[in-house]
Amino acid sequence: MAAIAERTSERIAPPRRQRIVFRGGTVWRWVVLLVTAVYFLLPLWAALRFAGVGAFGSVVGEAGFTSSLALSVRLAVITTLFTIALILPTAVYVHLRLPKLRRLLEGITILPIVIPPVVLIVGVLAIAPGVLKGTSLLLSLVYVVLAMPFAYRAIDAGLRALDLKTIVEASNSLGAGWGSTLWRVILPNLRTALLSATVLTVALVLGEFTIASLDLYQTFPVWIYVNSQTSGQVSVAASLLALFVTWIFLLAITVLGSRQSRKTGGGEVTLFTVARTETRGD
Amino acid sequence: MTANTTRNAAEAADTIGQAERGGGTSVLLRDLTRAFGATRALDGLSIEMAPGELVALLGPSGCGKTTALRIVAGFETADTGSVMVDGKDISPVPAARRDMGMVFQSYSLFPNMSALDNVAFGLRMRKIGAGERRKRAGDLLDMVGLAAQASQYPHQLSGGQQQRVALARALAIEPRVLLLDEPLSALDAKVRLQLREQIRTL
Repeated sequence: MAAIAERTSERIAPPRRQRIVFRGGTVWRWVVLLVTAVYFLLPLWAALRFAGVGAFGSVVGEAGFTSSLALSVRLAVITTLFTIALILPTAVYVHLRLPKLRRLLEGITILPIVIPPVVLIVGVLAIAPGVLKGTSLLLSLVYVVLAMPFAYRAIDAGLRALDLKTIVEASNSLGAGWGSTLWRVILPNLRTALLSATVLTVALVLGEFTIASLDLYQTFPVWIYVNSQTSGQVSVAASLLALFVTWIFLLAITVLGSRQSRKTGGGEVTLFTVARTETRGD
Repeated sequence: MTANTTRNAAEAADTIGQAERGGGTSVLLRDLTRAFGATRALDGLSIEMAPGELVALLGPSGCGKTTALRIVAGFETADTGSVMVDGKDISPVPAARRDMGMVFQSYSLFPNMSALDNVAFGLRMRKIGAGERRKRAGDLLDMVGLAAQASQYPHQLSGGQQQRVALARALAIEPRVLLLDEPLSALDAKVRLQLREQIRTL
């Protein structure tokens, strides 16, 4: 047995992606960066100047701030839970048992992006049962539909990066039932994908305006809009705050995701794709 | 299926091996038939395996070797026929309770677990305590010559190392039957030879 002791144990560094360099490339790179930076940062800077630093202090005390933010956060939490509870088992099932339906499901899940939100909410309000109409639960359910394209894609990308069928069968043959397999094998390997799905869903709910306003709920974006009628500066400050909070969220997820991925070799982590790193051969 | 049943041939085809622990187990495949649409993967396959026997199934690709193994493991159901283990028909038993170790053709380690945790997974499912689990998993990794890689994750291991961990993992549960589905096909010739010798010595 000792004869088989490792001779190839030193790790081979992964090949670096070749950089495309052309003459004057460095200069152009900076020009592009500068233009992009101006495009994105100028409005923010203008907003900040308009609002003034003082406005940030008064945002919190403004009437409706706490209740609208609380409503938005609650909607975000409920929507995320519903979305993942719905999409995760569906995606796993389709990958394992109905791989032929993957195309179809991809098509179906993209629909909410194609259908304008106004159409969606007007339709939903027309047919929703009376019990749901008066509650924010209805809004959550509509958001589940809106979040579906993003959540499905994130989870689907995570599942594609795994050899799901084989590891599920391996887990079964080792004596793990469906519960243990889902909990100990599938979920831990989908951590990044689930985080992506969560971030996208949360960001969507925290920023959604049309549907909430048509459903007559004062969520945070609706509150910002309503407030802008009376005090422009405070509402701009609130928007900047919301932007900052969402950005922190995204950053945290990306950092968390890439740490996990470094550990288990899951490859590069972005919000939509979990690129697979090939196992090196002998 | 042209079932070329060759005894003791550790040629790198699919191998239905018998675990030699606990006195051994007999396996009997009787008239197995399985069709996928118009393709008949298995057509009346019958094999009798005595306890402790090492049996290899040989044949060209697509001839139904993998299907036969998957039926024995419980991942696939036969259209007709039965699988008897120690005289009992195991068709109603789900894969998770068949007590069969399986090494797959493709890499099948759990990416989120270290080599040691991979090997210990089956023991964990059998509610064996953490200390005992680690010890047994460690012993098995030692046996396949990978004691030094215990804390490494699958992506840090080479293909051959991964298949050896998978072998240790399948053996950890002290299976009644050990099923090897072309465990060497993903490896190059040299490693294949080494690992083949290793499997034979089990």
